[in-house]
Parts: sequence; structure tokens; C-alpha cells
Amino acid sequence: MNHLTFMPLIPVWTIAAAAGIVTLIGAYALLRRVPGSLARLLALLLVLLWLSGPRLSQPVFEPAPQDVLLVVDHSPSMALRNRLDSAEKAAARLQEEARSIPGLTLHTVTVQGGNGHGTRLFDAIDQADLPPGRFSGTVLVTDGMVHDAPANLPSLFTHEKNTLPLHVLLTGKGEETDRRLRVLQAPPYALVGKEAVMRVIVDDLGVPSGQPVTLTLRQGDEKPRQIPAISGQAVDLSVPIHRPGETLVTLTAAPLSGEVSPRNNTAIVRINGVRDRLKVLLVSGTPNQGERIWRRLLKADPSVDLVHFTILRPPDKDDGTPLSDLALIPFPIKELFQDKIKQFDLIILDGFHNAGILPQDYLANIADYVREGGGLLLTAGPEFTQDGTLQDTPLADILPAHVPSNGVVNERFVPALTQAGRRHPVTADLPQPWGPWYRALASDSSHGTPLLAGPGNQPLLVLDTVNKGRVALLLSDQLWLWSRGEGGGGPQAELLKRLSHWLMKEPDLEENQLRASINDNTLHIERHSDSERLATPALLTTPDGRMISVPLKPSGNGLFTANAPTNGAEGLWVVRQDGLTAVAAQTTRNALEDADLRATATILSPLSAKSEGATSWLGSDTSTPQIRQVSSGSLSGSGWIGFPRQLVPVASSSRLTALCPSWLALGGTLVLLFLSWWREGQLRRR
Amino acid sequence: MPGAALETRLGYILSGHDDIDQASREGLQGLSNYASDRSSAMMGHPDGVTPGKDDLAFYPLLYWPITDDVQEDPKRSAALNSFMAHGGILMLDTQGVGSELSTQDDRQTRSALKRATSGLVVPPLSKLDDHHVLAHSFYLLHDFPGRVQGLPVWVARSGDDSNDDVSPIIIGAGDWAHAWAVDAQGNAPYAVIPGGDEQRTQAYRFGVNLLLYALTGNYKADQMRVPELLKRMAQ
Repeated sequence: MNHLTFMPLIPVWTIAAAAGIVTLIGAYALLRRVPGSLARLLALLLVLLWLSGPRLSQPVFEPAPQDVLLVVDHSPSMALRNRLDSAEKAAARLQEEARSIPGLTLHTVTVQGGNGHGTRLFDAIDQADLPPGRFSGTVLVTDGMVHDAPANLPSLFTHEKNTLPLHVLLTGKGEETDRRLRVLQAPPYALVGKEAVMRVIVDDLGVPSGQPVTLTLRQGDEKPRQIPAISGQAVDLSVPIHRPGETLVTLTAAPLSGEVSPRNNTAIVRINGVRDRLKVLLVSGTPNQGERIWRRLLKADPSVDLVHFTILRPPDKDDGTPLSDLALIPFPIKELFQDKIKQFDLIILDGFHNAGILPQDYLANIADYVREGGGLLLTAGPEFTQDGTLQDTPLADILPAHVPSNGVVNERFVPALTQAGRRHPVTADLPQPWGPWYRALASDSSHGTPLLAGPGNQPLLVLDTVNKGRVALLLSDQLWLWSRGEGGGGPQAELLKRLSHWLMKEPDLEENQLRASINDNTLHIERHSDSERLATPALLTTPDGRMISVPLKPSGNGLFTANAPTNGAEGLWVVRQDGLTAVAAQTTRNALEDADLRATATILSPLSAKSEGATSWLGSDTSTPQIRQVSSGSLSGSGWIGFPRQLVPVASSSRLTALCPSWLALGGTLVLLFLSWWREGQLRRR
Repeated sequence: MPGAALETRLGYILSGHDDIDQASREGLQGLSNYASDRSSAMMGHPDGVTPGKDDLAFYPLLYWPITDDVQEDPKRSAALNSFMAHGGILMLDTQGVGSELSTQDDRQTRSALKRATSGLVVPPLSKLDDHHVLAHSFYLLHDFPGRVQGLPVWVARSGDDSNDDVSPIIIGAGDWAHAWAVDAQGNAPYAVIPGGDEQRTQAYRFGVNLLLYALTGNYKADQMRVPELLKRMAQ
């Protein structure tokens, strides 16, 4: 820092030469004891010192320019109340004020946040990357809900053992309260017909828990259920799953009086309904080629429990072979057709004719099973026109077609899609081409929906609903030819699979279905219809309860679609059309942001205190703290926030102090010369 | 109109030898009658077919007598592979070779079998025993004789659930066609050795089991599981 420097008045060598001569002569004079020679020598050396111009050089300091970082929180939680407005105004006032302070530059960073990462103000401070030395502190204007607050003050806030302040200006009048609903546990899958149990908890933030809360549970179109709960205590809720596919459940906790926002009082839970193992009863008539096909399909599916019933030896073919030689096991027909029939998901009657095999009561049970909601698939061959036909049993009442005794048509034909078949999810877009069949049944009457047509455009595959149940009738025993590859084969497995699922009321295979989904802030509505026109538009209920009418545009084969913008509105969107309801949910995209909506000082004030910064609530005041440049002492006070001023040496400039000024040299020399002269005089007098 | 699409028929592969083809036809006819009389299966008459030329899609079971002069034939193999892949069962019969009665040269037949199966997709095989569904698909059987007895029968090792665990191929030497054969007068033209009528009955029973296996697959195997299944449903 301080150092000695010389600024000689004459060239250095002359000074050095003169000093040499002076010293030699002076030394000689001293040896000879010439009186006054010491004082004369010193006088000459002083003159030489003066000529060499010794100076003390000292550095020059000045206040450093100040960089102050202003971080303004624009995260989604700032949209609540008037936080954003208040923050913007405060930021504007600080900027204005900073402009009038010389040497202080206020750098402003706005932080958007959200996108699932919450509010990350400290990341923003890091990224601002202000040069150390000039950086002299930060002001955060925020609601205080910061998700990347470190445990200790970042090293950036320490410069040369000085602490730089972190000032926090909070939007709001003071600590706030918020109620939130959290789903602790919800099964992603649940069995259809069973109840899914989920566990939720209501947290009251900023107030003591233990308050009674009313939860409202909404599921599809059902009447909302009210459930009492206590805040801070987990509650288990049972949700019945009625059908396969997605079930949306909305849970809402009643608002806490005075809470910031009820937006996190709602949770939407998606539960996928899946079927338990399917229980299928296959009843085959005489061993026929179709049987292996059914078995290949059903046995290969691990989710199917198949009970296959066929009669290998009719009573009239008993040739007296001892039973011990036969591998025939009596079938538990009473159990199957009476006691447990209701438990099957699907019954298939494959070329079955009842020549004294089953009591009529059992067939009546099958008809009742269908009426009460079961699914029945019949494939009929020539036996349908012969003695023992199912048309002469109680099943006749639920059959969608009647075949007369001369109804067997032996003819090569390729099954064709009917108009309805092109639209119906069971047959629409079945892979082509299809191989030929050689026999069909011509019905003299039919009702229901024909999906396939046979020879002479006669119904070949007919679907029908009977009370709560469903029936499908295939009027040919030739489906197996597709499986065996005859003429290239056909999509027999796919057709049977879709038929089975339609019979079991799989939502995806309904001929009339309404679907809604949300993607990229757009609500997509898809309506499959069995008719060519839709009489009414779709009625849309937005999450805030507004009703909007949306016309559906036909896009061919019974499909109608529409799109509607959601504008990011979160919550449940309900679409209704022609008695059908579909629900889609725009779920919250910022779980972290929404977890706690309070404005609070609890997160930032410890950090701010460590940095000797201020934490203050902006309130509804129209003023913000004054900015001060502080050289020493406290960094904040009532109504002001300070930033330490630092001094830095001015590069290439220093202050010089002459160590041997002219007056000193002149005076000293005169005194010394006088002294020598006086010494000489003394000796002469002696 | 293919008759085999309208009624269930067995098929046999034509060998080009009149005597053998006649035995195959009479044998399958005899078996079809026997099965129709005693089980609920209703069988039509058998058809002789040439794989690669005739449509095999209609037949649940093809009987193939292997003769020494059989040649390799990629077209035939492709047709039979497709037949098996679509759920058909192919039964190869070397007709008594390897038994005490056989006058034929073992090695010659073995190479004939090799030529016949060249290009066929044959799954790993195991020896047919009385645990297999073929041993109880209708009658309870402990061995599987034809005109000769005591020779092993080979079937696919179990485990193919995609095909209801049904073996697409059966290989043996029992000379079953001759045992099942019934001539125009309703008589059995070929003697079965050494067991006589008792052995012929067993041969027919094996035939009926085979035929019902071709039509109902592993039905019998899962019939055993029905009580357990019903018990589970009650819960």
C-alpha cells in the first residue's frame, strides 16, 4: 500500500557522484579532525537528499459502484389476492428510487416459477451472476413461499468478511392462513364392483388443526356426498367403482374462513376400474370345429376363468361300456345353471341344442340371467332348426331373431358389414379381407341391431339388449373357418373378443358413447353414435359452473367430435349429450405451488436476519422502504433498507507526500552550515 | 361347395399306393362310424387329400401313412405347416415299422420319415403316456395300440397355451388305419396282432380319444378344474 519513492531533480548519477565525493572529502576531514567538518558533511548530504526528491506514495480510494439485485416473484401463487399488483408496484417504486441514487444500479429479475418446480428465487439470484465486489445485496419481492430457500445464507452474500443484506419485502399484511386437501393414498386401479379406498387429510396452515371440516365427494353424475372430517386427521373414503375404465372423483374441503384461496381445497383422483378375472361359461353342442376355436381364444387369455360344458356322450349312445373304462365325469349342472349362474360375466351357447340334456328350468335361468344384466352369445348352426332347438325353450323370448325350419342356407358367401356394422365399435374397422363361409341361417323375423349380413343380405350377426342384459346371435356355424385360414381366414379372434366385451358392457365398445379428454389446454369431445345425426349439441359445464353449448361435427361412421379451449381453467369439465355424460379433469400443474398458498415470512426471515437484512410486509401502503447507501453500521432500519458502500483503490492513481520538502532542506542546511562555521570560529578564538 | 365345411370330416394324405390309400379311407371311415355311434360327435365320410393342392382348412385331423417312397416336398411341408399353425392336428403313422411283425427295414422307414417331415415345424416331442389328455379324452386308456402294439407314440411336449396346449403333431407306428378299417361289407379286413378283438377295441378307443381331442382339445383337462373353480366363485 504505502511505499517510498524518489523523484530526483537532477540525474541520479550526478547525485551519486556528488554523494561519493562529499563522503570521501568528509571522511578525510573527519580523520584529520577538521573542526565543523561533521556539520558541513551533514549539510551537504541533506542538500543531496533534497535533490533526490524522496516521496511517500499512498493509494487513493473511492466508493465502488453498487449492484443491487431486485428479484420479483411472478410465480403462479402470486396470482392470488392482489399479490402480483402489490409486488409490481413495489418493484416500480424501488426502481424509480434507485435511479436517483448515484453509483447504485438496481438489476431487476422476474421469476416465473411453476412447471412443477415451485418458486425458485435463489436459483434466480445465482443465475444473475453479479460481479463480486460490486454486488451489494438483494431485495426479494415475494409472497414468501419460496421452494429453494437454502439452510444457510449463500456464499454470495459474504464479501471480504462483510455480510451483504438480503432484504425481503412480502406482499400482504401479515402471516396468512390456508386450508388444503391432500390425497395421502389413492389406488390407481380398483376392481369393478368393489370399493376403492382412498385416504385424504385436510391441513389448516397457519391456524391450529382439529377444526371440523365438511368434505364433498363428487363422482361422475352421481349426487355429491358430504363427509365430516377433522382438520389434521386423515380420513378414509370409499368410492364404489361401477365400470371398467377411468372413474374421476372430485373431493372438496369447505373453505376455512379468511384463508388465502380455496383452490387447493380440491383434489381430483383418477381410479381405473379393472375387471376381476372374467368368468365365462361356454356351453358347446355336439363336438364341432368351433369348439377348439373358442378354447384357443379363451384359454389363451390369462384373465379368463373358463368353465366349458359339453356333452361328449348323449344318453342314447350308451353302448354298455363299463363306466370304469370311460373318462366321463358328471358335470355339476345344477351348480352351474342354477346356483352360480349369476356369477358369470358371460355365457356362450355354441351350436347348442337341448335334446334332453338340460331341464327347461335351467334355460329359463339363462334367460333370467340376461334380463338381470348378463351377457349371452349364441352361435347357431343347423341344429337351430331341428328338434331340441333353443327356439323352443324359454330362451326364445330373448333371442333377437327367429329361424324357420327351412332356414338353412348352404351357399358360399363372404360376411358383409351392414350400415350399422360400419359404425358399431364391435365391427367397425375389423381387419380385412375376410374368407368365405358356406352356411348361414335365414331368419323370418329379427329385431335389434344387425352388424353383419349373410346371403341375400340377411342378418348374420345381431346384437340386442334385453332389459338390463345383452344378447348377440351369430346365425352361422362357420366362424371357425376364419380361424382355420380358409380362403385367407378372417379376424375371428378380434371379432369374438370385441363381441364378448360388448356383451360385458365394456365402455369402449358402446355404440353410444361420449368421451372427453384434455390435452394442451383443449377439451376434446368424441361422441360415437349409432345414428347418422345428432339432434342436440353437447352441453359443457366448466369448472366454475358456467354452461356452454358446443355443436358436435360429424366425421363419418357415427363419430362426432368437437374441441373447446379450456384456457387452463383447472377442475372438472363435464360434457353432457343425449343422456350421456363424460368427465375430464384439468389437474393442477403446479402441485408444489399449490401445496401452501400462504404469504409468510417464516421461510425467508431467518435468512434475511442472518444477512442483517430487513423483512417487512408491504401491506396496503403505497410506500416502500427507502434505499440507503451505508458506509458502516446497521444495514436496515425503520422505513429504510441499506446496502453497504465499499471503497476501492483507484487504479493508477496515488497520493505523494514529499518527505524532504524544500523548506526543510533549506532550513536544515543553513542551520548545519552555521553550526560548522560556529565550530571553526571557536577554534580560532582558542 | 366344400362338403367338409358343412360336416366334420377326417382327412388322410394320399400316398399314391392304392392299397394304402384304401386302408386309410376304410380305417378313417371305420373310426368315424365307431365314434358317431358312441359319442356325440357326428362325423361325415373321410376325404383323401394332397397337401399343397387341396384345401386343408376344413379338417381337424389329417392321417398320414408314411411309405418308403415318400419324397421331400417343400410345397407339401408349407401346406402342412399352415394347417398345424391354424389348429389342425397331423398324425404320422409309419404303420408297424419297428414291431416284431414288421418285415420292413427300419432304417429305410426312418429315412422316409425324415424326408416326410423335412421342412415341417415340429415342436419338441415327448412320449405319450396315460397322463396325457389323449389317454382320457373319452375312454380311459393306458396304451395306444393299432394293428400292432407296444410301440411308442410321440406328441408335443405340453405348454403351448396359445393353442389350448393341443399337440399339432402326433407321430407313431401303430398302423391304426388297418386296425380301424371296415370294408364295404362291414367287416374288419385286417387282423390285429397279437391281441385280436380286445386289441382292436383298444385301437378304436384310442381313435375315439384322438378324434375328440382334435375336436375339443384339452376340454377334459380343465373339466377336472371345474369344481375348484366353482368353489372359488362361491367366495
